[in-house]
Amino acid sequence: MHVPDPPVPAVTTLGDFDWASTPLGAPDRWSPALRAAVAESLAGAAPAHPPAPSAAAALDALFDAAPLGLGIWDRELRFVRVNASLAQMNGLPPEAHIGFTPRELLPDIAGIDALMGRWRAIIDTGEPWLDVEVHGGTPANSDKQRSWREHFFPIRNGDQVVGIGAVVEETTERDRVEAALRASEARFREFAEASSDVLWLFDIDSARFAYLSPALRKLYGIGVASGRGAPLSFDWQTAIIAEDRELAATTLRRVRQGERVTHDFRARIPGSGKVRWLKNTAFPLRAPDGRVSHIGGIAQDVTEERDAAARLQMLIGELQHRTRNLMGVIQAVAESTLEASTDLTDFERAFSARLDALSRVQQLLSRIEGLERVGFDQLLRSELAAFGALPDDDSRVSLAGPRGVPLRSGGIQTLALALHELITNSVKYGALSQPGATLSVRWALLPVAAGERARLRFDWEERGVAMPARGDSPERVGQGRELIERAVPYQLEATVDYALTADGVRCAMVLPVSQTLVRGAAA
Amino acid sequence: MSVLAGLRVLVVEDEYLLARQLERALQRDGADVVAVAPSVAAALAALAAGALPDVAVLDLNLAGEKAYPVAAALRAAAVPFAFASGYDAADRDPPFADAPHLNKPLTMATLRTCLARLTGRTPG
Repeated sequence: MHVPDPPVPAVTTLGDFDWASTPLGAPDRWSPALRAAVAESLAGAAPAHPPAPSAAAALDALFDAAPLGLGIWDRELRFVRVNASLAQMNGLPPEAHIGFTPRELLPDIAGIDALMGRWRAIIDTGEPWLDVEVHGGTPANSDKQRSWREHFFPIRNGDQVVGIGAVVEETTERDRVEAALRASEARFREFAEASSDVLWLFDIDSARFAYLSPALRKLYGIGVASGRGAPLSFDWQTAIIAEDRELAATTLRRVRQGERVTHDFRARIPGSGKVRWLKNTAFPLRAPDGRVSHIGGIAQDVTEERDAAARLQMLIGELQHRTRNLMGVIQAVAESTLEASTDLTDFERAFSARLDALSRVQQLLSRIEGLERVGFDQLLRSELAAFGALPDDDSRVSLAGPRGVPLRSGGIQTLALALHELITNSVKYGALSQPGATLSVRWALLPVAAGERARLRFDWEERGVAMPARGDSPERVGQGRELIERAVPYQLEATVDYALTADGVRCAMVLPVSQTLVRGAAA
Repeated sequence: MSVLAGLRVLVVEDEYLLARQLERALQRDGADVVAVAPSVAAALAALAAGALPDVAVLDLNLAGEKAYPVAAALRAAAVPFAFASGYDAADRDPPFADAPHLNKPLTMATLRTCLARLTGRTPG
């Protein structure tokens, strides 16, 4: 497309200058525009560019187009001029402001009367009033609470203050966002501070904690300043025990590379010196540029949890041990019972009775907890009860002794089997088989010298028994006696004195007992 | 002739019935059970009192006390031994983690093989 050159004043002269010797070359080869410009310049005529706006026009344009609200009042605080932004905030056309005071136009601004007074003071004193937070509603939407940051300054003419200029910035949205942020932060803080876990935030650049929740105080017994800006210099590396420090450092390195890591470590509590197990979950927090700027973490005291798990593991181990041991014992009892049995019916009867005795002692053992022990009287009564031979059921029987003498856990089974044999033999051949006989069972703790173990003495005494010429299964009786006279001394470090007198069986045992108390003991 | 014939064996087991059963089974196999001990103290006393056995079977848990002192004494005297217990082999203390472990209840077949291997006898 051809665009015609603009009209060019005729060039009559281009001065005395030898243009041909310059890079521009001779003027007749110039473009018309250049010739015109040079000619104008040489002639001192008006420049080719458009005229600059007057200062007043520029200010008018700025005033009208500014994104800030701008207003001017006269000495009576009547609007003289309002820009479009302010008019919009106020919900009135600009021209509707002119001649009215803010009090008349904006009655819903909070404390408008006090503001009027304060503005009059600007007129009187000539002092500006800056950074003023103003709240309230305007005719734009009178039911909505809005807020502004405003600056007021005097407008002077010579020495006299002729009016007030106002600069108004709406802050409603920013205040709302900030308030929401503050509320959210406050809520987070309440969560964090109510938590029994230690919540922490570590600033990588400053190598300091930006936040540490108060649970740290409970855990470590030390306070931390949790306010904003307070330096949080908690020396976590020293708190972690030496063996676990490398793991903790490795974890932090991994988190810095963007990984989320959970691990358990041990910390020594200052003061008490106790070691606690902490489960710590650490995760990276990224700055807007994507780099990991903070590490967030939640540390939980899992000492009790781990202790409970370890206890449970130990109990399972004990149970396993006890079960396998019991299997072996049952096997051995079956084997030896079989050896002394005349036929399978005989075996069945004797084996069942011994198995029952083992079951009863298992029942007693399963009822106690932790470090508790089975009391001697409990074991004795449980065996007697199985034969209906408690004093309440059988007037031939008398018992005398303290309750709750704690038996050591090793050997209870063997002691139960031995008591079982004493009772079985008594029921078959002894006092409990004859109307006129009596059975007296007495027991007592022996006096203990310093450094000695507690010992129990136990006396089994049958009287008035017409002793049989011989038992009908001497091998069985022999096995019973082996349990009483050999197994009990072997396994319980007991001394046993067993005698078949003309009057009946006498058996005295002295056996070490536990130092631990039995639940409900009234010894 | 049993592979265990004449083998001098120390049995350490706190449960009388198990100790008795083990003793009798070993005797049936021709072994010479030199001592049966229910506790660490009794086992150490038996070792101190008599001639050393050729091999020992140790119940790991002796009424709550561990048999490790006996194991240490046997190791010092170059007497081979095997543990027997109701616990898993993994539960043993590191110094003795490599000692043979027999699960309870014991069976004579595994015991025989184990003792033969420990004493360099060929099961036959």
